[in-house]
Order: sequence, then structure tokens, then C-alpha cells
Amino acid sequence: MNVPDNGARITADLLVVGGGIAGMTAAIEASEMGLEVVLVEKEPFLGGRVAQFNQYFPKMCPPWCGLEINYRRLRGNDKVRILTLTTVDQASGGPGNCEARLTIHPRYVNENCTACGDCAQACPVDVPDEYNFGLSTRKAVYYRDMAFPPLYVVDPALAGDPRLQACRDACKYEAVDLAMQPVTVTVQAKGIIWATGWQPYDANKLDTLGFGKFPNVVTNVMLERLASAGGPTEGKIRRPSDQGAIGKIAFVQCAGSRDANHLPYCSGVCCAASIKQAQYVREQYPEAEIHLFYIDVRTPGRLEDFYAGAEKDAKIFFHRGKVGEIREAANHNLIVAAENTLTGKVTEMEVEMAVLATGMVPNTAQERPPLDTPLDEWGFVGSSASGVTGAGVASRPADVAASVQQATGSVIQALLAQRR
Amino acid sequence: MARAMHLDPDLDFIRQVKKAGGADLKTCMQCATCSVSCKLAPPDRPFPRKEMAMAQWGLKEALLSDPDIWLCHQCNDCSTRCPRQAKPGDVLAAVRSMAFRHYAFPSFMGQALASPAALPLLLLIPALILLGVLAVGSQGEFGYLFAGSGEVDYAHAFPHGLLEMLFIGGNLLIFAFAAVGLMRFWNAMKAHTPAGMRSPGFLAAMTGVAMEILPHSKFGQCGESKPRQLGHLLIFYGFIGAMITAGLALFFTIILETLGSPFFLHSPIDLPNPIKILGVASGLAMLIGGGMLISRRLSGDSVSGYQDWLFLIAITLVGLTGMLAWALRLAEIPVVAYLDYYLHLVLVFFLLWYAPYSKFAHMFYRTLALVYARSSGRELVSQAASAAPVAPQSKPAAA
Repeated sequence: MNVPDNGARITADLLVVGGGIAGMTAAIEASEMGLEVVLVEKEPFLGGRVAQFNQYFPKMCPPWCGLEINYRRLRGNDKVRILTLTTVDQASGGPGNCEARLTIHPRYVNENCTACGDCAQACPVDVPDEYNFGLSTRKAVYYRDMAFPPLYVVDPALAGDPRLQACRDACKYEAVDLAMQPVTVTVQAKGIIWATGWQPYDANKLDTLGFGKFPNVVTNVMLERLASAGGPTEGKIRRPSDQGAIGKIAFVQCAGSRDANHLPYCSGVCCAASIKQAQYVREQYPEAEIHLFYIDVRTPGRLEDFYAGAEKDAKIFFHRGKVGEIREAANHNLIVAAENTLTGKVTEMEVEMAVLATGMVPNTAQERPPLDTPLDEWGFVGSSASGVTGAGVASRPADVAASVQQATGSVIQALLAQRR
Repeated sequence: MARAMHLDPDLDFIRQVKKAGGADLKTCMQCATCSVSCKLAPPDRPFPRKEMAMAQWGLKEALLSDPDIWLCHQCNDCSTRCPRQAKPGDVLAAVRSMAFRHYAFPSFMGQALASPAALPLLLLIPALILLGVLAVGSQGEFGYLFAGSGEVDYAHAFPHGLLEMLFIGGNLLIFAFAAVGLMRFWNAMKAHTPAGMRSPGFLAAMTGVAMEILPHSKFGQCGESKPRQLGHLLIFYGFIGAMITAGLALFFTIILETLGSPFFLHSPIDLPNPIKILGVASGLAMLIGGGMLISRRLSGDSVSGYQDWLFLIAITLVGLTGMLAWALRLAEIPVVAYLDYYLHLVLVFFLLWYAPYSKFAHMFYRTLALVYARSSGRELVSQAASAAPVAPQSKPAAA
């Protein structure tokens, strides 16, 4: 799909902001109902947070399943216009009549690219890979799974680096264009669906849990990358300090969640996510002791069966009591301290690795949606009266299944908002 | 593992705890962050999570007889890290203030000291008695009290023999009353709390507790409000120093004189006599320590109830009026000096006579609870448990 001309005006029924599972779902379902949709994504790839995951709970299937179905539905669908590397600068108007100005940021790679990878191979510049939370590095010219269109991309922060001339020179197709300029376009739409997703709560703020100080304290999203075949360890779960095997691991629930000093709410997914991740560990380490420290295990609905299944594992231990402190012992092992409230004793357990189950912070809490869209006290998108309708985790914390259902509903909400 | 438990919630008790400084008690969700945050809690049956449950459930007897509420030194590490802002540190402080009211003998005195309305009456009693002392000392001649300048002779206005009789007699009575309350508390602790495994014996426990209280080592382990240690230390030793000064003064000025010993000293004892040095140092310590603790409380360090302020202000004022009495005597301003000395004496007797019922009682209750905890093996168990390596896990058959 070609980048539109600078200054182009595009008319559509809906503008969907965010190309993760929720935004894709909303765009596809709306288009299959006959609506014209513009789907914008700030990254060079689609799939968002879900693409980073190893598996979904409770069925333990890889995210490619759901994402690929969406890809197939997009193929041959001429009603969705997808713009990646695109941000919304500003918007005006209201329900039925919104106008948004977008910037399409330069990819620095043109359509000649065949994704052969010669540019990356020749690239002398390595940077920490944010996609893997810094657990690995990537080249300044790189390819991301789910890239859309399927082209290489140059890290915009490094496009001006003279060392990248080597990448340009290595390309047989003259596809690397370091002089590429941003393009501004305007979208006229009847409504906007805001599906900008979430980020994990910043574990550096949890000063008693040692994240950032002790290498073997990781977050749940980091463990997804460690377990993922496309991740920094090719799917082998090893502890970061020495790439050692796991004999004993702790999952720390409510790491910053339900906490007036951090995230006051429950994201509702971290318990099931940790139980899921316990299974990742179990698959790779049949003998490992897995300890999960919780306040309440919150696995509503059918997820209760998922929880009950994990309880049958002879070496998955559930401890009722929040981890109050993590200290480092010899050899970068960790001491995890919690009061077991069922026995009334403080457990100080030495483990090789600890996983903080951090909650979901809506990106809208930092980057407000346009049109003075009201947010709730935690930063989630409230009503759709402004013309902006929240979808996925932008509207509330949710797992993938609930996010997809909510995104479908958001289309109707966005249409209803135009009628009021 | 599960064990049947009959709960008999005392709703009025819950209301009282909330009123006495534990207002946010009910937001606690029993996550137990507090028990781990606490640097003083033993790993076996740590506090304050279980106390929060008892308070929420209105388990009055169990909570008031729990020695652990006295192992707490209100560092407030728990309150700072509590994810629900339930302020366990303040809840335990509130419960402690209710504990010495609960065990007080006679019990109406416990009520009186907790009630601001009773304060004028409580002050009136030492005020009137000391006016009586003044009347005896002045023998109907009051003119010298109102002189704008001249020699100040406190011992003439308030005969020290009489004061010492009130002091010693009052203290004996008060100790007897306090002992009844403390006995009640001791028996309640025995009845309601499981004894530990190994006991070091009562005497060893006393020695251990003394070695802990004298350097205030528990305060030293606090994280959040460690600076409180110095203020409390100053008041503690200031008070003890003042008591010793009074005892030495009694011995040298009255007892030795009565015995006709050549070593007796004339009142007032003045610098550079070591007794006076001790007195001045003690007064200053109380004054400075009191000022430090008052400023911490004013800055919102923790929730402060009526009992906290009453005790802290009274003991600081004792230090202040004591130091002023000395200065005003040297400055030879009788009218102010006598008034100040009178106030000083009223406050001293106010503190001493009501000691079993005011926050002053925390000294006795805490000491006793610490001794109980040690003699029942609580501290030993905890030290052994924290030193032991973590036992390998085995999964219970049914959780």
C-alpha cells in the first residue's frame, strides 16, 4: 500500500487509531459491515502488545492464530486503509464530523524493499531492542514480524547517523532512502475509535521489589518475550544474570496493582497470565518449583478451570500473601519475603528468578485522546459522546478475548454516537 | 489446617478504634505487605496483619491482650507501604491507647484520662493540693510571692518535706493501682496468647528487655520514622534523670539533715554541684526531646490522638517550667518564678498521679508485654526462625 501524497485528504466512515488486536478487530468488523475505515498505527507493524506474547490463556495458542485470521480478513479487503508509522497530531469536530491531521513518519525504506536483509547484515549500529524490553539488541535497520507493509524500517532516531550509509550501500534495490520526509494527511471521518492499548506498569517504581536493581527480577511481559520463539533467548526461559536454568521461580502477583501508591485497580488478567506463564516454565522445566504469591487469585468465569488445573501440578505452590520485599542473595539468587496469611508465618524463600505480575496502564493516561474525550479516574476512555470511542484496553483492562469482543462493540458505539 | 473459630465481633470496639486514630482500618484487604515491611515483627506470627484482622472483626479481648501490639514501636514502615492506606501503624497506636484504658484500675480513671472534658477536673486536683502546700509553707504570709524582684526561695513556699511526702506517698499508691491493671494485662496475655516453645525464664527476659529499652534499640531498627529514636531517647533519659535528681535532692537536703549528717546540703543545690548538673541536663533533655517529638507529630508523621498530645505536651512543659524555675530564681523575679514553679509542680503531679491511665502507662505496658513476649519464648522463636534456612517445600494435601 503506497504512502499517500503530502497534504492528501482522505474521507472515511471511521478512523481507527491503534493497530493492535482491538484496533484491527474494530477496523475489520466495521469494514465487513460496509464502512470505509482508516486504520493508523504508530509502529511499523501491526498486532501491538499481543504480537509480543508467547501464548494466549486459557487455550495456550500462539497469538499468530488470532492475528493471522485478521490478516487474512484484511487481504482483499479494499475498505480498510492501513497507515503504519502514523500518529494523530490533532483532531477537531465531533460525532458525525471529525477531522484528524495525521503525520506519516518516514520509514526510510521504500517499496523496492524485498526484505532480503542485506541492509541489516551490513548495519554497524546495534541498539537495545525495546520490543524485547532491552533483553537483546537489534540493528538500526530492522524487520519486525507483522511489519506492514512487509518492509524493513530504519530506526528514526538513527536515520541521520552517518554509519547508516553502509546500509544504504548494501541494498541492491536502492530501497534505503535516508532522506525520506514525513507526510501530513487529513482524514475526514464520522467517528474515531481509539484503541491505543496499554503498557505494563513501570516496575522501576516498585522500590521494594528490586526490579532494575537485581537482574533476575523480571516482569510478566518480559517473561512473554523470554518464552517466545522470536524472543531474545529463542524461547528458552533462562534467568538474565547468567542464562542459568530455573529450579525455583516465584510469581509476584499484584506487583503495583490494587495499590493506592501505584495502580489502584486490578487489571483482572495478571493472575491468569501468571498461571499461564507457570505452564511455560513447567513445559521447559518438568522438575522446577513454581511459587505464586497472591492476595486473591482472580480468575473469573471459565478461567477458574484454568486455575484449578494449575493447582493439580504437584510443584506449583500458591501462597496467600503479597510479596513485601525482594532481596538479592549470593549468585544473584533472590530472597522473596511474604507473610503466608493462612499459616501466619513469614516465608523467606530463595529463588533463582522472580516474575513481577505488573498491571495494565492505558496509554491514554499519558497521551490523551483528542476532542476533550473524557477519561475515568485511571485514564481509561469513558463515554463516546465526544466522537472518540474507546476500544480494547484503552477502555478498560481486559484479556485478549474480552478486548476483541469489546472492540466489536465499539463499532456500534461509535456509530450510535453519530446518531445522538 | 483449617480450624473452626468462633467470632464474637464487638462492633462498638471497632467504632472506638476508628475514633481513636484507626479511621482507615476497614480498607485493609489482608494482603500482608505490612507484616513483611515491619522490621520489628518476628517471622513467626508477625504483626500487624493479624492485628488488622482482629481489629476489623472487633475481637476486642484478643487484640487488647495481644503482646504484639506493644512490640510495635510505630515506625510506620507498614503505613507507608500499605497499598490500601489503612495505616496499620496508627491503628495499633489507637489500640494501645485503648489497652491501658481497658485494664485501668479503677476503671473510671481510664475513662477520665481519655476524655478531654475531664481534663479541668483532673488538673484541679493537684492544683488545689499544691495550693494547700503553699498555704502551709507561707504560713498565712503571701506578700513575698508577689514581689517584683528579690530572693526566690521555692523551699520556703513549697516545703520540700511536704512535697516529698506527696511524691513518695502518691507514687506508692499509684504503683499499687498500676500493679492491679498490669496484673490484669499479664493474665489476659497468658489467657489469650499461645506460649512459645522455649522460655528463657522471667529474669532473663527482664534483663533482655532492659538491654533493649536502655539503648532504644527497637527504634533503631525502624525505617520510616527512625529520627523519632533520638527524641524519645532524650525524653526517656530526661525523665529518669529528673527522677534521680529529685531522689538525690531528697536524700541530701532532707534525709541527711534529719539524720544530722555533716554531708547534708542546703536547698537550693546550685551549680557546680553534680546533682544540679544532672537536674539541668535532664530538664534540657526533656524539653528538647519533647520539642522534637511535637514537631514530628505536627508535621503529620502519624495520626495523633488526644492522649498522645496530652502526654507529650505535659512532659515537655514539665521540662520547660523546670528550666524556667531555675532561670527565674537566678533572675530574682519572685512573682513569675513562684507561678512557674507552681505550674511545674502541678504538671509533675499530674503526670505522676495519673501515670497508670495516661499515655505514660505505655512505659509499663510495653515493658511488661516485651517481658511476656520474651519469657513466653516469642523473641527466641523468632530469632531461631529467622536464622534457620528455608525448609524445602512440600505441598499440603489440601490447602
